[in-house]
Amino acid sequence: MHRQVALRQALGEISTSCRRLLAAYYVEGQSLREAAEIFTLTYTNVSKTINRCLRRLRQCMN
Amino acid sequence: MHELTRPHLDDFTLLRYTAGDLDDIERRLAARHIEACAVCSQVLREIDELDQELKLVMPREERRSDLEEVELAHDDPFRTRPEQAPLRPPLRIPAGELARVALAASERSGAVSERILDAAAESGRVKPLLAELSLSDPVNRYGLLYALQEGGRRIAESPVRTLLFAEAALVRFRHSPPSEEDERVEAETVVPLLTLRGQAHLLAGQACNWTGDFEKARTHFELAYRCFARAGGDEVSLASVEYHESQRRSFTGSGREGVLLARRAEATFKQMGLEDNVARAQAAEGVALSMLGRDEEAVEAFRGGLAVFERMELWSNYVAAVNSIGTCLVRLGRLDEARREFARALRRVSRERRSSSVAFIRDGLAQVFFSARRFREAAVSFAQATRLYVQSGLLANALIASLFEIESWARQGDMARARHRLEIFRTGVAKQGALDPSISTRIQDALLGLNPDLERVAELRQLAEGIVRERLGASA
Repeated sequence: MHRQVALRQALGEISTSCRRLLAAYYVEGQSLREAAEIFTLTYTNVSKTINRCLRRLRQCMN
Repeated sequence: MHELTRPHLDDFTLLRYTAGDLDDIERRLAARHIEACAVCSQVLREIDELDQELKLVMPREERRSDLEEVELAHDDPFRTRPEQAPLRPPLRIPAGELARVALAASERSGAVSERILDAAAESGRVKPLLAELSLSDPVNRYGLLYALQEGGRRIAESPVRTLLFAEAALVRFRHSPPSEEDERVEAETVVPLLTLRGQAHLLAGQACNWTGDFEKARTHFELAYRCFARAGGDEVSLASVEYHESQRRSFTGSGREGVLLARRAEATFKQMGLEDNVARAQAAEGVALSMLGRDEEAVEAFRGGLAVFERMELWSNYVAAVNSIGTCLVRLGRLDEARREFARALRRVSRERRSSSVAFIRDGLAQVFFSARRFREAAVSFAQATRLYVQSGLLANALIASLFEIESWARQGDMARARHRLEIFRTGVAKQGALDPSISTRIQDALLGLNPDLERVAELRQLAEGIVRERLGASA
């Protein structure tokens, strides 16, 4: 339960675009590759943004 | 496995690997790397765990955010929180001295508060007491303010008496002599009459929410909001009104507005570190969500506050939350979970200390059995609730629980018990003058014969319930 609370809090702190990607994947059922297309950036930059966001979420779980 | 240093797989690649989102070549390369790399293998485990949690949390979070776009109408008094009122009269005494006076008055107000609450608990005593209470004395103002606040905490004991208390206070304020309203006097500087008025309107509105008079509650909450704003715009008081108004809106079919107001209040309480009020606001959000049919989220909101209510012994709130969780779980078809929730609650609330709380929980449990058509267990539980309501002086609730018990026995097929309980019920309503005797007779007729008319019993039970609530004012 604590992890979920921490995760919820962290979700409120990540970038809007990353949040949109996660919603597209976890809620709307798109694949991650499709969901990543919402970013109008090169794949390298997309990766960087998402990695930052995933690292933040992963850290809050520990 | 040994530790490769470069290049490690990034989080996004590992998430895509977990999700099966990589193409064949990418997947094979990733698998080979993970097998050889302790670091990536560990990160993959963490990504897996994160993925599992996100699957649970994300849908709820997205549903939660879809309510964030709600706006109140332009002419809605609660559209935005009022600005703080700027005008305070010039003080005749220095601020430091004022703080000393306020502290001393607050500390000495306990006896006044107790006297008012004792009077409010009996019929006809509070009005004359308040008429004699001088509001030129800061001690009396604090005493009344604390009594009005405590009245809200004790509301479950008798919403009708609570309403009479709040109304008596409002009458008292209408007859305040000009000397009490003089903004330069010490008492008015310490606790403005507007604050007291706001608190009395808030309490009256709360009581109306409990008795189901929502139109009257609306007026009281609007007036409370206005009074608190004019008295200086204390954020906590304004948030308290929003929280109660949230419940009123939820009860009257405006659940989305209810969610908005509950969340606004919760944000203020969180900021101020008021844990009990945060829990109450979460419960108000739960009420709104359950009215919107979003029971899963509602259960979560109610559970958010439950531990706080228990730890702080806020039993009225605790009971209301438990009963709401039970109702939501039944609607979700999770009957066993609902039973466990009630059983846990019954263990927590000791009968000796709070028979009314136990009565409400028993009643809630009985309703769960009734909805699940487990009528024998429902009947037993309604009978226990009835006895406890009588012990607590909640006669209207006792009569209503008794009506349910009669119907439960009838639906169970035990007509002898149903008729026996009906006889006891008739004696009870006759004493209270709570019901036209012909209704009991009609219930009796419906219970007669080889094929009792159970639908007619249910119809009459609903009719009788409405009349008893109206005449005696049952607590919800």
